[in-house]
Amino acid sequence: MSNDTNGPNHQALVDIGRAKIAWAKNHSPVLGSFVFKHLNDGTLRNKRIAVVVHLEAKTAYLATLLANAGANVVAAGSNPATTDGAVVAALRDAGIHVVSDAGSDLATWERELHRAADFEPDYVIDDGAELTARIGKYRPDVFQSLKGVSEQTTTGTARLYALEHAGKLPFPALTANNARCKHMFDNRYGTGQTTLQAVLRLSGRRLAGSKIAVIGYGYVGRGIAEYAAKLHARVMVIEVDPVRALEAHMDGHHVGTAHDVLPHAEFVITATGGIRALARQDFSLLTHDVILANAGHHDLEIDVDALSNAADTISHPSPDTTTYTLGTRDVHVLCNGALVNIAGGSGHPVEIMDLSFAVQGIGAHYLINTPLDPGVHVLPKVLDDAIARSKLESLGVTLAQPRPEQVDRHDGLIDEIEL
Amino acid sequence: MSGAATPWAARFMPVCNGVLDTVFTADELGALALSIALPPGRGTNALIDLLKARGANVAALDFDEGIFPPARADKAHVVLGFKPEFEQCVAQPDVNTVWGATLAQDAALGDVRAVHLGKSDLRAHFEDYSGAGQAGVMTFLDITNLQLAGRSALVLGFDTKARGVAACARALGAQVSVVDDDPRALVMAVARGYAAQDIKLALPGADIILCVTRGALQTLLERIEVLQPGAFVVNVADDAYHDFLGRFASIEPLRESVHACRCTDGKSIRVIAGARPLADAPDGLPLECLDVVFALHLCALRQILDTNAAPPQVTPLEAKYEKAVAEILLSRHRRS
Repeated sequence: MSNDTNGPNHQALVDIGRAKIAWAKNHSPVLGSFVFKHLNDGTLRNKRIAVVVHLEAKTAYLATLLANAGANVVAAGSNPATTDGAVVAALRDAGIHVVSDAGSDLATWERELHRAADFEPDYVIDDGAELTARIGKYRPDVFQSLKGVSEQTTTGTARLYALEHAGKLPFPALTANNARCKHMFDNRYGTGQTTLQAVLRLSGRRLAGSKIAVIGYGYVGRGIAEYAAKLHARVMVIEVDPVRALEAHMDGHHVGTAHDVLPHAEFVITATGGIRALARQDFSLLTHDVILANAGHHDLEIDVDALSNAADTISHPSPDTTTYTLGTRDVHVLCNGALVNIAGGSGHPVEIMDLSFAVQGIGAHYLINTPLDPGVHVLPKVLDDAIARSKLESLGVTLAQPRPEQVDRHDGLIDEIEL
Repeated sequence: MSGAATPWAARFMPVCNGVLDTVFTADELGALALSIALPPGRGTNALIDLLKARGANVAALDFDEGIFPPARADKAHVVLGFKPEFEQCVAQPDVNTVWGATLAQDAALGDVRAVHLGKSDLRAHFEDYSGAGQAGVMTFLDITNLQLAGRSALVLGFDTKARGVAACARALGAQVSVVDDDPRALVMAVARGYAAQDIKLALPGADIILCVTRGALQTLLERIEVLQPGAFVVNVADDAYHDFLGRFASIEPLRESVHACRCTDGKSIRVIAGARPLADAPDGLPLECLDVVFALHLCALRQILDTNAAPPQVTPLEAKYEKAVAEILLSRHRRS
């Protein structure tokens, strides 16, 4: 997409981007009311905030809200494959500093994140701790002076905890991912719905009656499995955590190892949040014409490089599909192993990101206004609940209130025990 | 459409291959000239390629122009003619030189010998229930980037296709209500766990109205004043509604394939894809569904060839052919 900043083509791009952001705004009642009120109390004024999430319309609306509240915002994409050129054009037209462009390769993306680091933010709203990690490596001076990070994903949260355990987290970091209003909805319903949408649209396939393997049974894997089963697919799960594996079994899915599952799967979707969930040793187990897609943060969940090395030939049946021929079998990878719902679709539903970005927006406000020790923190339950209440209110759903007589204070039990 | 789309489709159409391998002899197809009228797309192209690979002389007729007079044939049909002059012949259906046609639904075709698939359970399931259900609902989600979970969806009609749409919407978390003129259909809807409502009560509470049965859009237009502002109107029926957007006081594009349509009372609703049928969009139906439907059409061709001495008539597909297609499907299922 053109990055030309003059002429009618550029204006058309800006208009498209504006329309996309307006659509996101119109379906984001929590951001537009509850979060808007919090952010506009004056405490964000002149704060330097980097927003590094997949750079599309919903993220742009969050960045716009922060900027309108007086913050000095820089926006960057958290993945080079997911930046929307029209949205970038609209943000720049609105005066927001954007360091990313659509269609960047990995090297360019690295330079973009370095430019975001050079912006010297006070606070980072991050996705996968992509900017946080680079600030640490590239600008240790900025890393030391960071006032707070709010992290979007499971992967990024794991990275922040690793830094904390290593004694290398000199600032407070809020794991937005661990807020219930984020992971219970974004990871499960958002990724679940849109991953299947993207896989079906890109492949032209039917889900009902098919056999789908889900690798990883966290909230993302659970959501994919749940929707796939409801749409009449036969779901098989590969999971290394015994409790999650048991949960998958109790949810009615077939649970097994790669050897048990992969030889039967027509679709394989990775959702571990880690790397090499589907790697060299698994390729011999894959069936002819199997479709592989990734729903986890890393582009590395499917080891595409190893697949490329193992392949006899590589072809491209469509711009979003790469076919690796391994002997007599063809293995099709969607979106080169990038997050399929974003790289191959429109990303999470707007209403879901309304909740997730409400957590991020309120999280940023909380970081700015609350003295916190260095380390990983979770958004207080009272704020999590307030976001949910705001969403329920926007939906016209009335929340039941507990009656006093429903509360068991265990008085009798306590009175009977004397120490 | 990219050149690679057709081979991609062919990968996932094993049932047509199975039928061609088992129901026709090697020489038989080579002796035929076939005219095919199906919605254009990669699945249809793949079918044509399969037939050509077996030596058949295949011509794709212009589906959009219509082959038979509209009053005399259903739109969703495949025509297999065995004379080079087939197209001219069907333009004059009383000319007795047309050997046969296969139709998706029962229809009167005069002197044309035809087999229809209207009573085929397999066709109804794969095309109407599973195919249109997935294609219609998923296309709505692709267009809007919204979610169904927690939304109130109203399905107008409860025929097979509507049941598929309702099931897919519910699977994705919508709270589904159903409206149908036939109380028997509503009883079935209730038995499946849907709310069955009177249309006057159902429309004002619906976030999304999925119009499935013929005439549903007209019904909606007649009651447009009771819709809530911002409600989505989605057409998943077989039929387009000519100039649906032209029925509103003004329209404004909101994003690709979404229009805000202002009613005379000043309220705006949102119409998806100009109320064109979503499931009939090019490449709309999943490939596996097209595979089964096309395989049934090929079986119908077999049936026409076997009865070429019979007088012109329209007959349903014989059960033995449906069973043959089902066996091919099952053999693949068991292998994996």
